[in-house]
Amino acid sequence: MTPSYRARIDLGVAATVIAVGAVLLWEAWRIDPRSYGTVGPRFVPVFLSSAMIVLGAAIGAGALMRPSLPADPDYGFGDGDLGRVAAVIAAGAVFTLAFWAVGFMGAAATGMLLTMWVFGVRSPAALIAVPLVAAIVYQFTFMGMMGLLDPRGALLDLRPLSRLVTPD
Amino acid sequence: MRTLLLSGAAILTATAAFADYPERPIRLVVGFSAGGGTDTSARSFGSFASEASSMNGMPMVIVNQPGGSGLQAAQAVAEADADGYTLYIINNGTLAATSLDTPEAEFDPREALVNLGCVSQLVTSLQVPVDHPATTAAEWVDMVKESGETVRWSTSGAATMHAIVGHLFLNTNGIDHQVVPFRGGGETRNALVAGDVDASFNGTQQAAGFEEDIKMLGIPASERDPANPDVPTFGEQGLDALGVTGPMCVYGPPGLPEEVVTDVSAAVEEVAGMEAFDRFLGRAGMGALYLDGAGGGENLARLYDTFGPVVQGIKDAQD
Amino acid sequence: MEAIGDLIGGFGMLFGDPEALFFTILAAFVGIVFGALPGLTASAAIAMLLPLSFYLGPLPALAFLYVIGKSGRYGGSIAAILFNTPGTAASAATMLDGHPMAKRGQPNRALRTATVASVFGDYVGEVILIFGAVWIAQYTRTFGPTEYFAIYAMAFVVIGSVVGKSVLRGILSVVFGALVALIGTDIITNTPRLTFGAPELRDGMSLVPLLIGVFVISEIVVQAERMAKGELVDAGLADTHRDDRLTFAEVRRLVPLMARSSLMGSFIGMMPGLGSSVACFVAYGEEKRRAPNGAEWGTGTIEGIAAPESANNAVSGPSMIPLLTLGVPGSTVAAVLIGVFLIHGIQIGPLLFSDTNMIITDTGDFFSSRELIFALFAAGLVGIAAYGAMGFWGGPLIGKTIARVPPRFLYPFIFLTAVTASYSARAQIMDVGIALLFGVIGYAMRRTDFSAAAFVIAFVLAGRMEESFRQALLLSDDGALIFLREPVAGGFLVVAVLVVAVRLIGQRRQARRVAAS
Repeated sequence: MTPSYRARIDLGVAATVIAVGAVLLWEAWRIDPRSYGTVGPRFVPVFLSSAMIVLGAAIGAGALMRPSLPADPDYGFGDGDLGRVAAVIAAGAVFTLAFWAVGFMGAAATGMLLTMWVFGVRSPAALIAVPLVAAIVYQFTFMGMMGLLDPRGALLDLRPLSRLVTPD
Repeated sequence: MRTLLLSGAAILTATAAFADYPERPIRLVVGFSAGGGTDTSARSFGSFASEASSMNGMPMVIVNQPGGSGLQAAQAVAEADADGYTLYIINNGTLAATSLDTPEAEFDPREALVNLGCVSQLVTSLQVPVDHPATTAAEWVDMVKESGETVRWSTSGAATMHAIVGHLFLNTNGIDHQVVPFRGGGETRNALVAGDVDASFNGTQQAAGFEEDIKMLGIPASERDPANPDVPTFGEQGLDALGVTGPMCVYGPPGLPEEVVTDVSAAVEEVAGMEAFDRFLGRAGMGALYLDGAGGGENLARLYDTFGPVVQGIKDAQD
Repeated sequence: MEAIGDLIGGFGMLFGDPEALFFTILAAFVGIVFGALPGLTASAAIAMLLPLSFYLGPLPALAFLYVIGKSGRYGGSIAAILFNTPGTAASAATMLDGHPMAKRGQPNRALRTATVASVFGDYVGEVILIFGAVWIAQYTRTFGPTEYFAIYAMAFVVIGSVVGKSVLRGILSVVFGALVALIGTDIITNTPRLTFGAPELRDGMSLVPLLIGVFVISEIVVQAERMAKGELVDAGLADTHRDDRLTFAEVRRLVPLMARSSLMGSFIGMMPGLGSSVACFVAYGEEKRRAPNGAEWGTGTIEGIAAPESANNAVSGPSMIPLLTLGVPGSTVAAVLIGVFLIHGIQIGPLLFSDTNMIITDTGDFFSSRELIFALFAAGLVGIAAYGAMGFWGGPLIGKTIARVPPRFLYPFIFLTAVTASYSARAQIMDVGIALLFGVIGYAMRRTDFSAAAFVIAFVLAGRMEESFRQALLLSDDGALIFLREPVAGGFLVVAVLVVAVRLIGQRRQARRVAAS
């Protein structure tokens, strides 16, 4: 009998949980256990990551024992759109990278442009104007009014531009 | 248009050459999140600083750059342009303790930063429940040694200034003890109020408002703290004086222009003398106390020498 | 009845502080708007606005976020009634009767019923909070690490086992949240833990990027999926309005029902981990069973809107009781408020009610934490009135305006705000990456029945739980026996074991019943 959709997802969940637990257990084991008391800094992390592996195994065992259990309609990734999910996260990753490379204002414009594209904006005027306005407004609000640290871009220093919005 | 731009540029360069520092707001970096104890003191200092005569009315803008107990911001300021527009404010006790306890950062603030003067100080005190029979630190030392029991004491972290002073005091006086570190001064005090620990080494300001639960038996300073004149020093009571206090100091990167050093130092001295600033600190259980740049630098060097062996001892004791 | 005097003092402090009053009113509005945005919740609003509150004084900051928690719950009902979005679990029950009523041309009647019921429930909960918290705090004042460990352990187990569909996955969410919380330097020995050698992780994970990932970014991702399928907003309302009003006589008829639902909601709110989503369905089910017109429920009755709305807003106040008296957050909003208290140097727990525990602000004002708490209660009471008034007269307008903003522009702006806000808490670019990572984790957790709320609450609690565990051992002469020797601590641990047992037995029975039928 082939396992149901739910059982297959559950096996995947179990595998992920066990894998994450194993990585954390490995890292927890490397903690320097020296301490005053009998229970040092390593005890709780090791206990919790082991618990994660055991509980993950329990989910896997449950899926194997009841392979035909039906799933709720919104359970799992069946009706998901993983391409869209990846696109949003990728826009965020580009924002982060741009933040490091060219500073906040450039990153804000880039991030806005990409996210709008992901959400289906195709009008060229909007794709140019909205990110520009957004970058200026966010630069003014966060770096200017809230006085946040505005780091220089590691590759390209755009601060001469951002100084037009937020003079030092 | 072109001439206008050119003449504008000329005016700008001219004013730059003859300008009197500071001609724009100064960024005063705080190595902790907005809202914490260091941040509150720094913001208060920053707002009073614009009233100082050498500051031309320019404000000090607080920029929070938390990380590594203030070490990350210290390193950033040490590497900033030495133009006097990026300065750092931190407590010497915290600075020394953190740098010593994080050797892998390879940061020595004694060389990497220039002290421009200090405005107030953080003082550790020995705190015990109010109903403890001892009335002085000396009596307390005798009593706990006679009882032969292990003293369990709370403090504000593993290797903060208060923790280091606690280890130093208890070891120097030959007391058998077990430290119980807590997250910050508030929890440290709460453990004492709830009666979970026998004593506490904690900032004097944490005892303010808890006079019904806590009494302070002594401080490790060489002189009494102006903010708590009733609390005697350990030295007065015939114990080892220790001589450890943590002044709150303004730092800049090395190589600052002469004018900047003079102006900022003058502003620090002026703010420390302002009655309103002292009143502000008084509400937090602290007081204004001025130290000049040389004095602040000496204090840091002394803290370094005192703390070094203790930090090593704390690490060894955990084995 | 000392509390009444203190409450009057609290009102004095609130009205004497224009900044605090302004942010209280602003919070009422912001919360309604965020709650009414399809898919976004009060937790999402709070996550993004938390860094801003660092720059406010303690009272404005706390009042702002606390009132957003209340008005956001209410705003969810606007989305439920007008747009039929199940995005916010707290308003899911409201949708059952609210949307059919709006669809047949009575949106204002539905919205006003929801407003009246929310305000009623919120006031009941707030009054229970004010008197209950003060009363309990006097008993918890002497608690130390031993008792705290037992309380945290109980909260962990209870939250893990009651919060989701599956006990196993609830507890796994808690365990994972706790592990993430332990990343960073150990407070007792200064040893770096679980940092994978990265110095940036020495300070540990910060709450703001984590919250933004789990509550905002994962939600934006879901909205992007929906947009792709073109199933975003189902307004589908009738063009003509008939009998679209709520009479005073009808409100009077609802009072006993709202009172019962509010008490149910308040009681559920006091249990850590059981939130609005549980309260609204319990109240809906119970009142439907009692009602003479039970068969009509689900077709658009005012009773079917009032019961869940009273219950879910009544949760708001009492969910603060475990936070204020024990330091255990009962809800995600309460978990975030811990961060705000700490950033202002205020220790949570029973000493909050001490009138000698002074707090000083950077403008030089000072007050005791007891005064602050009562001013916060006052802000809560004012905030309820404010969102009630805005919702009663402005709710339909807010709803219509939101329906008109094109989501393809709205969500990019929310996204940019979210990533910027995750940077702003600590000024670290890496935190943006962390927010994205937890956006993915939050999305996967939601798809596979894990509980984001349990994860966040465990993240906030775990550090303190481990510390109190080890501190108690350092204080003890005879090791772990200390937890059983102290009667209070032992009692809490027994409760934890009982709750899990009851819940597991209940689940097994249910499974057997399903299998039998």
